[in-house]
Amino acid sequence: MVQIDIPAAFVASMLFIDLGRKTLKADSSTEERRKPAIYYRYLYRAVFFAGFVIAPAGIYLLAGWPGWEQIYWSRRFEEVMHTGWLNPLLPAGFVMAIVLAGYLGHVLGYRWLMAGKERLLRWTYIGVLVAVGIVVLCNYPSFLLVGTYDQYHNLNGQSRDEMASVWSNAYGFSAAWVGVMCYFVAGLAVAVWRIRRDSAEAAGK
Amino acid sequence: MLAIDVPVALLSGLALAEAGKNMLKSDNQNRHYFMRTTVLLFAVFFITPIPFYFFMGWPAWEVNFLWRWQDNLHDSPLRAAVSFAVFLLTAGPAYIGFEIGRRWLRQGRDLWVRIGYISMAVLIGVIVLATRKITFNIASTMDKYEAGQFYSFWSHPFFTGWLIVSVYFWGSLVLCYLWLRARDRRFVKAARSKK
Repeated sequence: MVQIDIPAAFVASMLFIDLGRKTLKADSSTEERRKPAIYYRYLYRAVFFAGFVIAPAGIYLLAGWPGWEQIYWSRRFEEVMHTGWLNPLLPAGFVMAIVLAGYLGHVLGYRWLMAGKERLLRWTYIGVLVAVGIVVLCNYPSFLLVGTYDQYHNLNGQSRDEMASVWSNAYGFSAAWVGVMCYFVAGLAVAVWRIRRDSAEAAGK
Repeated sequence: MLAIDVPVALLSGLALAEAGKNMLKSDNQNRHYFMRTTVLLFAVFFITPIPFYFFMGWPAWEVNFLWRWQDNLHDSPLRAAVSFAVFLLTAGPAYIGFEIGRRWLRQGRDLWVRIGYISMAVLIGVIVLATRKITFNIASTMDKYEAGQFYSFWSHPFFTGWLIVSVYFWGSLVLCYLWLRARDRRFVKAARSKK
């Protein structure tokens, strides 16, 4: 979901900083440079996660089920093919926004960690998660229905009654969504595992 | 077009590796991570959105009129997965190009890197020339292509969009190359002054 994916990249970057805070602080204090190697190592992870886990998962759902993927906020996402030069910029902008959010999450998170504002870092990403949850819930029942913008908003002779439940696997949606979630969870698990492994190795030194 | 996107991504990776060649030749881990991260950021922020723009707007043209299935990605888990493949086909080669360049530079084969990206530029020219009929005649879907319903590459809105994303990509590549070159020079200066 567009409304989740962009903040998710921001939250993931901050979460990685929070999980690796001991290693980051220890390694940063041993190097004179303003941005030590570990800064770039974590930035690499944040950008990789945003660019290779969140963005492809999001763009997959946007390509297949554009209405649901942005919980029916705009018809433009459904009309990207051969409709001028502006609408196809939306999926491209979506990818860029995810990567940018991942980058900003890292930069801000690292700065706050080095300034000793660990609580601010944690409350920020928890706050963003809560805010995203509220935004999505305010759009009930959009995230439970699969169909088009016109169907959801009862426009052009179409009706919301024609929409299918997300759990009925109509239009192959449920299978695709489960696949995407498996990919996302596996990607997150690998990223967290690597950070924890690095932290354990650093502690053992 | 996908046939061009892969060499363009490889060219970018090789060129950016060359821009930071002294940093990559050194054993400074900090600079290696810096270069890797910069190239990854460049790939996902400046390269990947471009093929997506064309793939979503003019899918048949973007895949060089090779297939039909990309014309309707909606409501199909398998066909929508193509978007996944397009993503990896563009970000992946940029990073691979960089890693190849890095390895060559560390082996002292600086010239190979330059030959590598010049070859990619020539290859892009050859592909455009060989496929000029389909490159400069646009049809958004395979059905329209088969029905001969083309319009000129130079017509609005296609050309307007193409111009915007081309300036965005090539402009960013030049700026990123120059920025890395400047960082590389500063790195060499700092290393000399330490000695």
